[in-house]
Amino acid sequence: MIRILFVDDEPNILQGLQRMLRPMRQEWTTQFAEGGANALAELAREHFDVVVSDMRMPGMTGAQLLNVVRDKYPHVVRVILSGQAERNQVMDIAGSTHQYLAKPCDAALLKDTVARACGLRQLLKVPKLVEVVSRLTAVPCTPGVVDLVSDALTVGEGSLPKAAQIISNEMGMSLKVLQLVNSAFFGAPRRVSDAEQAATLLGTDTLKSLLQSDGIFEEFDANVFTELAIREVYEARKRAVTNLLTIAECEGLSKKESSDALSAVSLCSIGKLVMAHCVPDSYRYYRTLLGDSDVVLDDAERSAFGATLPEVSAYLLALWGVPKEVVEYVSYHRNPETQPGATGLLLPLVHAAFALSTARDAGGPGHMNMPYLSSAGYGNRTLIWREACSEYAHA
Amino acid sequence: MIKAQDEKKDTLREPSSAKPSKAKAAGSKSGKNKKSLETDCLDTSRPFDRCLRLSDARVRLLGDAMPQIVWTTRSTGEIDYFNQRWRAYTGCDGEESPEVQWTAYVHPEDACSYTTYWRTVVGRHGILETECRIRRFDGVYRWHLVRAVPIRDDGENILQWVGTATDVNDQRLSEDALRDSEAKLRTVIQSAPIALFSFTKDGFFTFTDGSVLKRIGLTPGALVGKNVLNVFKGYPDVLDHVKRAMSGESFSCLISVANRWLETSYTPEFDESGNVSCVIGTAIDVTDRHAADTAVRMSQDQLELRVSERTKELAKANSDLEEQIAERCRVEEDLQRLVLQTEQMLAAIASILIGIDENGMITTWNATARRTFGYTTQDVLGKPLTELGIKWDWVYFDFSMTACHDAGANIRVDDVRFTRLDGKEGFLGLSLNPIVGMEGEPIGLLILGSDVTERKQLESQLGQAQKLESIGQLAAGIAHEINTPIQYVGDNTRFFKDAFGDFESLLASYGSLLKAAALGPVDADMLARLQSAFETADVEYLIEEVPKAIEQSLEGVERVAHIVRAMKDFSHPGSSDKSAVDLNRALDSTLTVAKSEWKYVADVVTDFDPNLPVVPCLPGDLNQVFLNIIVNAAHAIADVVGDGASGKGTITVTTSADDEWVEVRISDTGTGIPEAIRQRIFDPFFTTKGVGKGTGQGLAISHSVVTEKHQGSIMVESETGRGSTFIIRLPLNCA
Repeated sequence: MIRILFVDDEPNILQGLQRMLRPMRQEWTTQFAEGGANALAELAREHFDVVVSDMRMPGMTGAQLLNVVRDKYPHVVRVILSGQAERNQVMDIAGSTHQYLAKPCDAALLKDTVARACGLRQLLKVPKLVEVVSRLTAVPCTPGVVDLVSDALTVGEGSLPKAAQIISNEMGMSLKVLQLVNSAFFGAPRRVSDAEQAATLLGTDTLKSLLQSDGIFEEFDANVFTELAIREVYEARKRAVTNLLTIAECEGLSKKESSDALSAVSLCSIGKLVMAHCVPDSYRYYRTLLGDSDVVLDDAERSAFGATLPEVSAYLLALWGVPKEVVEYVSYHRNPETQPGATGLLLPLVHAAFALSTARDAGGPGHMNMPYLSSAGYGNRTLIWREACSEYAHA
Repeated sequence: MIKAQDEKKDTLREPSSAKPSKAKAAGSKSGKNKKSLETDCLDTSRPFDRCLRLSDARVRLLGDAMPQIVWTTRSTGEIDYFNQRWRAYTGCDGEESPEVQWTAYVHPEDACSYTTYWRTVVGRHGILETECRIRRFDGVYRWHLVRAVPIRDDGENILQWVGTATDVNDQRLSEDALRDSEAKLRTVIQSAPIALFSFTKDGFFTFTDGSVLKRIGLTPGALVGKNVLNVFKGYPDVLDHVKRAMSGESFSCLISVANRWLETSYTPEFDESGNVSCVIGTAIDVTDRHAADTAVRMSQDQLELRVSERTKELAKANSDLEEQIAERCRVEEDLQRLVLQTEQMLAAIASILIGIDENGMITTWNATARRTFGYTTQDVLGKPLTELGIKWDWVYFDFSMTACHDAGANIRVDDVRFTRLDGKEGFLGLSLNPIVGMEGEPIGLLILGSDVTERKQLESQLGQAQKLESIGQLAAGIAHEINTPIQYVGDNTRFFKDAFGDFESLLASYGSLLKAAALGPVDADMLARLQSAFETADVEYLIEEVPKAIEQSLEGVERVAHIVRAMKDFSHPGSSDKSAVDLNRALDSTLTVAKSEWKYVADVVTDFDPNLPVVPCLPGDLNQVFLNIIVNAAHAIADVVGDGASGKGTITVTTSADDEWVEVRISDTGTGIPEAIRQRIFDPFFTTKGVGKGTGQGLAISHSVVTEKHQGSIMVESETGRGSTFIIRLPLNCA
């Protein structure tokens, strides 16, 4: 049974939530705390999976509460439900909060968000990794890139498109802007999967504030970046992205139609960055395992981290409120045949883009799951894709 | 004024017999006489032959026209006529017989000799010319030149004497003075240790005098005609000096001649062609002084030592002094620069400057006045201000001008409406300054001013900006206040929907049971299903929870309605007319819209006078004032209690009234206002908040709203660390 703690200084709100969530009583156990101090007492007493807190409360603000929760109970999914619209305070919690809901919140959205948070447990089942990923406020980027974005926004008249372009090439930044736009941090939530679009929607002023806030955009330590050859992760990602664009073109898909798939391909490797950053020793071990040409990726990853990297990536993306189709593509891109119900229709394309991007696949038969692609109706398209992608790679 | 008094005194001194005007005329004429004296005398004396033939009457007529005293005598000397001038001059009234009296007007000292002399002249039949003193009307004796000529018949027998007396007193006095000073000078030269001399360019003495010559063995008079080069040939130094002087040098020197020390000076004189014509010199015997000098020099040597000591001190004092002087010079320079600057500043002033005299005529009209009203200086100078056709609020202006005139002091006239050159309405800010004369009487008016239209616009925009700022600040808080009840009303409603669904299915079960019961006995199976449905619906919970949810929902709806009403009350869009306002309600509305500003840090206690009369005011502006003060109070408390975790502060709002005033007190338990800045909190742009946290206009605008728009007062009482109380008093009867 999923356990959820609701925190607000207004008893009427808590009672209303309790009544509204009554139909879920078979699946969820809900607990209600008036104010931050009571909430911490509840957390100390019992285990919770999700905390949903008001922001502005006397004594302890929601941001303060969630920071404590992040430190003491890192596995807990942290959600804000606030009627506050002040930008400064939103900035305070943009780091420590996984998702943001605005009052008045539609009952369906509230239920859906809580349900998704609860469903996360299915994506990543290693408690240690859950803690590591949940604790994150930012995924580090290429050293120096924060200044690049800052310069793009401030030099001369400032160029938002240029800044958005840089952001979209960085997984950590992309994920953060997608989190902020898809949640109600700044105005109404919008379902956006294109990071460039998300950055543009936030606008110059908000981006500048975010750049100045602690813990929102972070960079790798330059030595770590070099030692762990993080650049290679970026290069592989770039190949996959190019392949997806090529395949999408072959299939005559518009940019909008392929947006979720592109986003999934762009963000898929974020798990690697998270592991390199949070558990560098495991990551080093993982890199030695990859030296064996016969190794199966899933096995190597499970051996090094306890879970596969797509699982880590998917968990993080889902935790931060990225559209669920994107999460799905990330989750199943490697073993698409295991996907239970097909909601995202472009999974075959995502799978192919990745399969064609790994060095071993570039010339040979590759690891494309032909039976799956055939059953999905793309059996006769794979040759065209392979040709188009290798042409592009050689060009 | 002093002169006038003197004149009066003079008038008083005139003899009682004489009419003041007449005497005055005579006096002033006597002054003129001096100049015309000579010509007049000549005119009457020269055409002798014609005079002879004049009849007695014509002589008298002529005599009366003369500016001098004129008289005639019989051949024997008895006076038979005095002209008008005599009477005017002496002040005798003419009733008395002049023949008898005239001697009375001659100075006693002169009268005797004069009478004798006259008799002699008459006896000799010659021309009489003498001087004697004649008494003027004011009793002063003045010297006159008396001339008399005989008129003869064909047989050379004297028929008559015609005489004139001319006032020569001033001449005589100056002659006396000259003689006197000459005599004195000579005495001085002869008694003083000095010699005067002059010699020609060839060295021949032309003049020598002075006692010094004797002292060196020379005879003053005997030197003239001798040559200086010969006289002093034993004194090479003197010869040398003489030659220098002859060559045109002017100088002084000290020289020893015959055991005397002479301070000699030479001054050459030059002819028209620039050559030396003669040399004038002086020699002063300074032997005694020289001896004294020598003695002094002796003691000076002794003194020198002390002097050199003193000199050092002096040098220091001197350098100090020089420094002071330099400092003064600098100050003076600064002062001059300042004066220059001031002049330039005055020239650069972009104010309208119009001067009018006491008749309302324009005397000054500067460039800014020209630019503002479109008339050139030439157009308007000397014309009445009222007739230029300036389109401003004349009623207001005239009223102000009268007020200025009455007060005799300068008056500020704000916001005079006028039509600008572009035809748009504008405002002038004027100051009327009376110009007064010596006696303090008004002699004109100086109008200074400027077009304040843009400033007025900015002020109004600033007021608007401050309002928007506070509304913007409130908007987020109000949103929160509304979002909260909306959230739980929505949740409860969703609950009602679910609950109704539960009831509906339960009622359906009951319905089936009812239907079955109507047909016959109900089986146990059906009862069990009903029992199950009853349990599924959790009816007990619903029965308990639904009324509470309804209650809370209604309360939530009321909360939203209250906030919306308060917002409507608060914002009161820009009514510029005063209306009767219930301040209790206005305060309640303001507290409501500002709730999110204070509710986390303070409790609000209100003590409203239930019988508070309505106050005529501008509700929008006044709410703004209350808001500013309440928000400040909340901030002051937040500075003390922080996030409110360890207890809140209190904001107390009270209202009360007496016959004339309504008083609103807003107290907080905040930080208080430090003594040092208490005076400044109502100043524009004064703020203690960080950059971007307010325009610093809140209290300044509050002050202006209360005092200027409502003729009320706003004060603050504060104790550092204890809190502040703002007291706003508004008049019940204000315009």
